[in-house]
Amino acid sequence: MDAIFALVILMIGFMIISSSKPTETDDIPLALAAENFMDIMASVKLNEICYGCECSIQDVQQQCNNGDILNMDQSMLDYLGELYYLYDEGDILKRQELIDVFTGISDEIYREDLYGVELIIDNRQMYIDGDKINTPNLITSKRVLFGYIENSVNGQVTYWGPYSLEVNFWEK
Amino acid sequence: MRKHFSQLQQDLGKMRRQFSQSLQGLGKIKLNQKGVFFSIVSVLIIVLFMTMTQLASDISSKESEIEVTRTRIKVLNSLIKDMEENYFEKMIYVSGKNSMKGLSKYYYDENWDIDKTLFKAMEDTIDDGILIDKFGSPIDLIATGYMKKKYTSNELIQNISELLEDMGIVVKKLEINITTGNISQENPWFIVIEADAIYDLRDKDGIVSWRGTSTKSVNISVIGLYAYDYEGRSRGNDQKITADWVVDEPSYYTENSMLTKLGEDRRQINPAGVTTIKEHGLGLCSPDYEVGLEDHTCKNDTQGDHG
Repeated sequence: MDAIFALVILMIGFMIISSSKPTETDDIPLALAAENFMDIMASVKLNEICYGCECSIQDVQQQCNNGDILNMDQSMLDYLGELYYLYDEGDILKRQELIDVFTGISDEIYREDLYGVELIIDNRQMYIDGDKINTPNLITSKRVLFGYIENSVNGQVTYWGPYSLEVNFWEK
Repeated sequence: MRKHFSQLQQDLGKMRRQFSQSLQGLGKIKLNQKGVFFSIVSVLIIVLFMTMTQLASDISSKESEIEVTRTRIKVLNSLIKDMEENYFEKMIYVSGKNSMKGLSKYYYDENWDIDKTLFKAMEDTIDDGILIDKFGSPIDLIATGYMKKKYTSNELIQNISELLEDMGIVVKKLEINITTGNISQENPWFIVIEADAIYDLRDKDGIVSWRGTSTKSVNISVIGLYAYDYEGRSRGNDQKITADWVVDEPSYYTENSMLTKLGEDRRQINPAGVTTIKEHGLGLCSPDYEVGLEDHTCKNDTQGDHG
């Protein structure tokens, strides 16, 4: 009788142990995806994905053809900062251009059916794809953005930023 | 006698019963001891398992903390890497160009009365816009509208420091110093300045710090600066440089570079004892320049890449 009692206690013990064991989450691929995404955005320049205005990313090509890109010798991340600056200065169309460029680039880098993404610049949400509220794993990557636009005809320099850029990733 | 015998038998029976009852009691005690032993062992095992669980949970929590810290450090490392590879240069460009534009406009308004080298003048003004004249008096180029305060290195550093602090980095030191003497010109369209960005940044929790000096060479476009033509060894056509200026052809006489025009070793005394301006070359001519003057021409088909 006592042995059965002890066995019951042991079983309860095992149950407690198994229930209190923390669930391990496998977020390494997610972290890598986020890291790669930001590294590519920060290091690849527009003139590296474009030959003239023939660009590997359709939305960038369209903006290049429209003459909207003032400086091809800047990273894709800096270009987002520049678009944000122009939007912040009152050119509301630049927000959509910013989203188009961001999604155009992100579509090339990761599978949007697998990952959700949110872009925040200067503490303002610019884009979100999916629902991040219920996600157990959220990877945040941050960068500082600042730069300048120089008019090549009269030498006028306009400095923009610094802005914080935050990209949140999660598994859908 | 018989009575005694039956009494004895009864007593003996009583004693037997009592003895057998005592024996039964002893068995019960033994059984109870076994139960207590099992209970104690069970409790000990449970305590052991609970301790192990707690320990595993603590370790896991510490691992999570370490992982969070590692991720944070990674994020901060990326920020610092970006600063080093990209943004220090931009800060030097913006503050350097602000200083050069302010100085050139000031010199233009003061009839090109320049008493120090461009390096010295930039060293004075790049951080706060205060130029020290030959009498040691300060001239505030920001208050007089020659320079923009928000583009001085002090302001840029202040802005970036505030943002970094919001992101969890404490800025102990962040300075931009032009490297002594390192201003040069090898292309008519660009003045090269070399500057040190000195930084001491720390994580807000004091876990990690980044200290170092990053030396950057920056090509600053001369478009937008004020200049003049020096044709016939006299100054003329004072105005702002725009994209339609042209590179002077290096021949007998060459137009002075912008570095020379803005004060770098520009004075020399000729054998007659007259102070003149050195002829360095690498100059640009304004669109008003008289093309094709004797001894010198300003070719307009050699315009460099200045975009």
